[in-house]
Amino acid sequence: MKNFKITQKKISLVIALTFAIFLFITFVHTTEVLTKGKELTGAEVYSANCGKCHSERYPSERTDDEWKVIVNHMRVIAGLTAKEAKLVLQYLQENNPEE
Amino acid sequence: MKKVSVFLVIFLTWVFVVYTPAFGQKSKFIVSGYMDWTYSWQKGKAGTFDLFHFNPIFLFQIEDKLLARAEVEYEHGGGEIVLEYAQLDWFLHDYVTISGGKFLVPFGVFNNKLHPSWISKVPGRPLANDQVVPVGWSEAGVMASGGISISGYSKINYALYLVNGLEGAEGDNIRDLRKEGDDRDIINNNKAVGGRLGIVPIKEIEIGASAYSGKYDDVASPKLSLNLYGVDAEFCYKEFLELRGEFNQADQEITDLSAPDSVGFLVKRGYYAQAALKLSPLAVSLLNPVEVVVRFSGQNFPGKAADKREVSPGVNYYVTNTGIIRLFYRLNLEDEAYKVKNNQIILQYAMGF
Ligand code: HEC
Repeated sequence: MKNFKITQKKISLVIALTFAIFLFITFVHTTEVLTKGKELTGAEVYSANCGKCHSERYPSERTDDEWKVIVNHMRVIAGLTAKEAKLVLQYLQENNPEE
Repeated sequence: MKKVSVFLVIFLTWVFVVYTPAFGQKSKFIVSGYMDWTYSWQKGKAGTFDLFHFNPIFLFQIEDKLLARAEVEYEHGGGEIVLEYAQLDWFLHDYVTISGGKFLVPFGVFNNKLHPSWISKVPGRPLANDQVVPVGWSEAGVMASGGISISGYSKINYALYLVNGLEGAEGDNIRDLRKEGDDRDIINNNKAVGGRLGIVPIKEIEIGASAYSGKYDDVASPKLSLNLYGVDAEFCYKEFLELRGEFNQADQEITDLSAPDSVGFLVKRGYYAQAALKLSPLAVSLLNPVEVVVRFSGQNFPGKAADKREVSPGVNYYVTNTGIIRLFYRLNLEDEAYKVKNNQIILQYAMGF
């Protein structure tokens, strides 16, 4: 493994990023506890996120089961929080006229 | 090799479709994707139709916490076929999703969030995402990503990855450092790391910072580093106004110090700024489906021959929410001494499905 180069720069980058994430998580937990953050509705999460990159996709476009797959797909691409993904899925399914 | 991988995807798709019940009720399979065709016209050249993309996407929800997905890209009517990505996303924790396979590198936003033609509002990629950060850029490796809510609409999202990385000859164009076809790195053990941190302070704004670091010379003991840095920002106001921009810089190490402007590194910079306004608020029914867009992008390289800018004004007509006819004029501006007549008129129909 002579040529496995993990340079100091790479290590510091990883450490810095991990540290930043750790700080944020701590910060988030503290603010969540302190502010008891306003709970968003599914409609709010949908309108704030689902028309941002591409134009809005309507609940009627897919079946309820398909939305589950797509929302997971969007969760990774758009960096949605787990809660947002859950709320948006509920919104899409509840407003799906065909189901 | 390419053809083999395409057949493999088709075969796997078939296996999944036929044997889906074997995974139980929860397993779900969907095909989505996008396609576009263009007619482009340039003075002194033949105008041509081009079925630029036909990219089917296969999504399999294996179980609640596991998503498998792949995209096959057929370019120019099938002349170029690549596996754009094939990855497994494992929702390990509310804050952490682990992805493995070959994935679009989350550097800035254009590469993994905006490049599909029905999404990117202007035909063709901006100069920030051509020779500085290549697009489409996918790598084999592992990634951790996630979103963490702060309060109300404010949140952060992150992606951290370890990949084989860009590799090629000293001083090569960065686009040419991508692995075409075979995603392996069997020359050395050198891996690259990178990440992006995005912050959403209020629902209209997202600001992100990205970094990537690796060695890029494809020899047994690589020495030349390639570091990429980028910032991106977006402002979306109520469905109809969108402003966004990215700035990317590559520091590409070289040993040939006689290269122009060289201080041991080729410093390549690229940027773009884009404004899009939907005319629906005017409530004139004829203009409802119309969006006016302008993009300005540029690249600044060592040696003026490669410096250029591009201005693309145009209109998008939304036939449906994902089917768009675009008409754009692309003004290509090279440095004075290297001017060429290469402005283009582009008519495109793009469709997401
Ligand atoms: C960060 C940008 C971004 C955001 C935000 C976003 N999408 Fe997407 N969406 C994409 C991209 C990129 C694709 C194309 C998929 C690909 O190329 O892999 C896509 C594809 C889709 C598709 C086509 C089916 C599929 O999964 O490929 C649907 C439907 C969709 N998005 C719905 C949504 C919904 C609903 C939301 C709100 C939660 C959303 N999108 C938010 C970027 C985004």
